[in-house]
Amino acid sequence: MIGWKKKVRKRLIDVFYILLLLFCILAYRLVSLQIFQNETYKDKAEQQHKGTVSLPALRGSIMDRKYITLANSMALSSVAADPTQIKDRKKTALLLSQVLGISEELLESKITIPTTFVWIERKIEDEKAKKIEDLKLDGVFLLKESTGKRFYPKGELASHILGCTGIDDQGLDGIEAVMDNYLKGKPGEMSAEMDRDGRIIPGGVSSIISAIQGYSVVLTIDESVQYIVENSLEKAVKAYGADSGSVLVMDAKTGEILALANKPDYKSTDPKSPNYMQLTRNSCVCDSYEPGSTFKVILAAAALDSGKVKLDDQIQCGNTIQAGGWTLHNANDGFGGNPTENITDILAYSFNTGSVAIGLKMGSKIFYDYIEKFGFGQLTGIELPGETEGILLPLNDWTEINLATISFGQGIAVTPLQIVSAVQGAINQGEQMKPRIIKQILDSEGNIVKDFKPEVKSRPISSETSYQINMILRNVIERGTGTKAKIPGYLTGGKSGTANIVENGVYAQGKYIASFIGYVPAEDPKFVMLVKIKNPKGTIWGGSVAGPIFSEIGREILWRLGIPPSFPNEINKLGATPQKNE
Amino acid sequence: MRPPSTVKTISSYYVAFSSFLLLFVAFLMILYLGICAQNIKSQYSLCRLKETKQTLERTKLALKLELNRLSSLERIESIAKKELGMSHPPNRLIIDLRNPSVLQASMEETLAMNDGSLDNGAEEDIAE
Repeated sequence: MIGWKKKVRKRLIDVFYILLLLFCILAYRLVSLQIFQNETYKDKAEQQHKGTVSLPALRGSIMDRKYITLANSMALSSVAADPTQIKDRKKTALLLSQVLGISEELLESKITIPTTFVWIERKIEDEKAKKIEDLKLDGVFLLKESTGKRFYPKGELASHILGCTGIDDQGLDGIEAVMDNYLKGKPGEMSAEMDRDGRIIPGGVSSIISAIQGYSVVLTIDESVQYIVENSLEKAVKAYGADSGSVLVMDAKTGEILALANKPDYKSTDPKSPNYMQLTRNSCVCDSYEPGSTFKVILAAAALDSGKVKLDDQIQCGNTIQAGGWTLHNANDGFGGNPTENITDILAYSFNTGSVAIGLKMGSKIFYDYIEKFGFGQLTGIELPGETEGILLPLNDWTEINLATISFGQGIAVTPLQIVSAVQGAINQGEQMKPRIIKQILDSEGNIVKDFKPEVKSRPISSETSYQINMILRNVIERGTGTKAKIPGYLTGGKSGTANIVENGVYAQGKYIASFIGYVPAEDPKFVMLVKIKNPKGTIWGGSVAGPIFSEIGREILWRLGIPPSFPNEINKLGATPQKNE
Repeated sequence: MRPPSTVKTISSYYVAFSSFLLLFVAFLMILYLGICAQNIKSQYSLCRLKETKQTLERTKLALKLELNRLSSLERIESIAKKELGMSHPPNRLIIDLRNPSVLQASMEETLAMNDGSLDNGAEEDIAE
């Protein structure tokens, strides 16, 4: 009996020691895990639970002067895949193809790449994302992008101004590129503990860097004016079988660009065309051309302002004139010149001979100085990419023949923007404004961050000379080469131009640029507009080709802007106006 | 030495007090756990609400985009011409309100021009 009790007691003591040993082992392990290896396991646990969530920063909008959105961004999801996790590649490719509309072969080739990550399609619409989520495909997942996708709700309207963005919403061309620093936002990041479904565990946010949304850019262009200009220009380029065309409309008082259009544009050009880049250039600022007779406005302004010519001076004209050993002629446009003419008639009928005589009378130095004062041969500083300064020979290189040809706008190359800006200065009491296309910059709440005010760039001529130029240019419309540019009901001023096209360094035979630059209402100009048509078929004269386009666009803009006519009866007497609808 | 009845009273008092204390602690713990659970639940629903807010904001942006697209002048003109058969008015009538005599003359002249009727599809614009 006693032996049995002893045995039990001994066994109990053994069990106690075993339990004590086990307890000690557990205690040691506990201390080791909790104290000595604490950091290692803490990090491992954090790696499993913690994740970073990208906080998207949307690119700012681009708006017209009336705050109508022309471009904005939306945050979208992208589809990616881990090909190593995909079991049935054929089925996955088929299902994805049905949702995304991408060829099955292409998708299969993507998910066969031996990698753990591959993009299937970036920035897809929410509907498609939902469908893909519902498919619950192995190895295929949706990712929220930190940048949005760019949308242009007005289609191709103002495409040359707006430009475009890349897949990561970065500006590549136009305002998108120039104002990229303002437009692009700064994505934020949040690190937090997450549950197995990827949801943030409440109270588990450990750090957060807020996203900074991009600023919005307000342009000076007017959507309705831009629409009128683009529509009319497209029709005109087609009607004249021209290679291309450009129209630029500038506020006559502030230098703000109201509309700028080039045709063909992105919409009407095949992206596979070998000349795609050339055809989609913003010709109004990137390409220079010989302005032809429209440059006589600058000649007249320089001659009158320098006092070398007076309004009633009789100047040698006729049909030919000698300069630098060359015989120069008038254009064969049906207007014959008298032996002498005054400056008003020389411009009204666009006599080259009279213009050469004015140029020779003024001399190279004075003319060159005025050309520079008007900003030719220099960048205007407009907020658009790729601006060119044109071609202006240095004064030292000028010979008599250069002076003579530049007097009627050949031998000098200007951009449409430069000539519009110069004429704006010539008719705005001699105050040339800095051309602008950006009006304001707004933050994401709509507060004004930066307000761009009109800025006087230079005063190339006096207000008296400006008045004289205005009177001369009204005559061009009333009785000269610009009668077809007249806008019924309004006093209009302007100048036509027809110039040879330079190709490979020589004048191309039978190819011309027909242009017309004008302003309206002449008594208090609201806008200056240039119409330039390259290589029209049939008639080639600026007054006949570009003049009517100027009139049509000008009339529509005036109505749209609500500028009352000076002579309403002139419009009422017209009765039926030509139908615009085709 | 205490009498047996006093010992019994004290021990039953201790038992009762200990039981109450245990129950109270248990209640506090349950209360605490309940509050924590409720808190977590609220925070989850807050997360869901935030997600809903984000979704609604995206929808709002998408609708704005659609509104901008629908209000495009090109689209409106195309519908007006092709679907509604509209066209630009053949006549434009301007009445200058700045000068009453001109206004009267203008009206008479225009009426005469339009055979005494203004209802000929003319677009009336008033210059002020």
